Amino acid sequence: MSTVETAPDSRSIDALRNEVRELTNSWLSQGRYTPRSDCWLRSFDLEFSRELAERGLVGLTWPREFGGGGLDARSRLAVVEELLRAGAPVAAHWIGDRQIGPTILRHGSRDLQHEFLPRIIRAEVVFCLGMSEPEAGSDLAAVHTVAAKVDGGWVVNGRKTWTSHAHRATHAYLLARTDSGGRKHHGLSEFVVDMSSPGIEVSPILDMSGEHHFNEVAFTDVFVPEHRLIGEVGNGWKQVIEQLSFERGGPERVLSTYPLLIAALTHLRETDDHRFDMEVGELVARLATLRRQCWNIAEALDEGRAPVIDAASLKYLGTAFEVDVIEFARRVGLPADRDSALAQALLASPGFSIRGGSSDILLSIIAKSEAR
Amino acid sequence: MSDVSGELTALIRDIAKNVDDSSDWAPELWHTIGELGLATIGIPEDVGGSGGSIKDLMVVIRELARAGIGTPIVEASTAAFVIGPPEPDSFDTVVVGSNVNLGAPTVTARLDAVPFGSEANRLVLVGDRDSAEVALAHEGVTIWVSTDVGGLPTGRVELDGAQLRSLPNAPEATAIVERLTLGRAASLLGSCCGAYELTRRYVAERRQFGGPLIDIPAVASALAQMTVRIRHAESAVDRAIDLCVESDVPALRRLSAVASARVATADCATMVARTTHQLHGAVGVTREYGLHRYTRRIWAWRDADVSEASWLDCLGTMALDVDEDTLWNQVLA
Repeated sequence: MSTVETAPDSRSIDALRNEVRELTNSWLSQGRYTPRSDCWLRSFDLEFSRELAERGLVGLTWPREFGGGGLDARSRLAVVEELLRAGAPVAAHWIGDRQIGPTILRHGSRDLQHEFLPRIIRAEVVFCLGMSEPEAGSDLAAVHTVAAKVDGGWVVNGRKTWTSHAHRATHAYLLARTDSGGRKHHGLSEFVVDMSSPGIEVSPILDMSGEHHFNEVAFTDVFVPEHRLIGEVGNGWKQVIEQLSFERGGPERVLSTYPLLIAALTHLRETDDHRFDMEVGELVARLATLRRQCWNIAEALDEGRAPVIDAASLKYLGTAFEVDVIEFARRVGLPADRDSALAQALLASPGFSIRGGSSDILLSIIAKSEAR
Repeated sequence: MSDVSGELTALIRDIAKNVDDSSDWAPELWHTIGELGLATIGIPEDVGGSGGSIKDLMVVIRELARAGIGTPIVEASTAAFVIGPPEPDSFDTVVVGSNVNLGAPTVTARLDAVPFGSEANRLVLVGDRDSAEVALAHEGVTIWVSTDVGGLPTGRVELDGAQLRSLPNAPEATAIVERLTLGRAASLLGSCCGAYELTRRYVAERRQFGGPLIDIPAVASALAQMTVRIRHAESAVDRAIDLCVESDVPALRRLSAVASARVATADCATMVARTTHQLHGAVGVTREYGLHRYTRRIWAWRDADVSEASWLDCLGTMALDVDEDTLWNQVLA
């Protein structure tokens, strides 16, 4: 590329943090969003995502060639941390930015990269995840949805579930079986599916808080053109494991309830209540250390390593921390009525240690690596 | 691991081969460690130290604990940081947070737990702001010898008009506390690693119900939980070391990182001691088997110098005293 090196390179981590901070502060002061726990799943505002995109804060680590920032994983960590700290409405671009963009970048064809990366970077497309199925949760290799080869592409039949924001998404990432003959880990492939394709039906699944982000998505004879295959046919298992391994190691596995932690600390400060000082000390030590672990993982990615076990460990401990914050807020005495920040976090909390691979499964992955 | 830390680790593994398991405290071994200059790492060579960084010192401390060797390395290296290298064939110890008037020429006070009080030459007393030294083998000093739960010497020291030498040129009190606390955290981490490694080997070798214990899912899961926690504690220690080495780190950020490392390692160590004993069954509680060289020291060290509870309280106060911005950018950064 013969482009002149411009500003992004000189954006230091502190500058990136300030930039995000300015944006969230300005939105906050204009009353354009309310900080909340679990914002990266539940706070959806395409306008906010587009404003981030305009500032070059989506696709931060992707090559400039596609309009990305060309920065490292540590820079992205700083941006993401600041967004979560502010409890900002980031759900619209989260999956594309965190997970699907990187997958397309690692495995997608040049055409697919040129088709989608710039659009994710501009927050024009919204991705949802077609992974889990009624019979395939943490055990993704049990996927039944079939993509059958036809002229010029594939025809998909099956059902996906727990698909957050499918009702708002323009595109779905899809894990489907392209070969049913062999062992269950073989014969899986990944696709990008246009959500406006004929044959897709999205039905809401309300979660126990009454909120609608989950859906079931039914695919009936949905045609997916050839070039929407990600990577190699039959290589889906390896590709999706990679995707999940990296996705686990981010700060959203630690900071989902940070706004609630701050509310609890503010309450203690305002009421001059020192009964919980030791508990505060414990939580603060854990959070500071978890942030360090996030940093270590980003550093490892920047050095070209694959910190799979570190990411699993982080998610295991980080999600436990997120839940402990809620119990702390409860003991401290924050209001707990149905619409309170505490109740909101509490009702979201069972999902923390399930999504992205449940804690029990993560522990068994770690146990296996220890037994080796 | 840097080259230096690799060499230090190898050196200590070598020393560990000569450990005599029959007693908790091996003065001869400590003598060897002193002769190798390991306790004065982190002190510049031009003032009689062994050179190297605080990072190297922490490797030594961690590896000694990981080898199950009980020494006064934490106390001696901190004392040397304050008053310089010890006199030949001796070492010095340190107590922080004592309510002694350090400005007076003499002192009368009772210090309930002075680690290695019966073995050390000089005692460094560190207050809120300043520090002073007392020669222990001197008039006006009575020492009641005891051992801590880890089997290492400790003592009640009664000072009755003992001579106090103030140390106006010593490092700042906070810097002393930080070094001592970081060293304690590193030794707790080392003990966790040692106990874990011993246990991992044991459950892989010991066969029950027709196979190695590690094949039992609950056993494998207990191991995984320990390794996850140890990884966390190690990150806490690494963070604190980095912030102590870096220049221009704000005082709050440095002290809170050290405190975090101290409570993270103590908390992890409590869990590791409990779990490693559980996984070992009865053999783990015998004098002959080596697990107690880790677990008993964990129980002693988690509340040594300044207790885990006091550090938790201190850290909580630090967090509540500042606004969210400072919390995020310093205490949590």
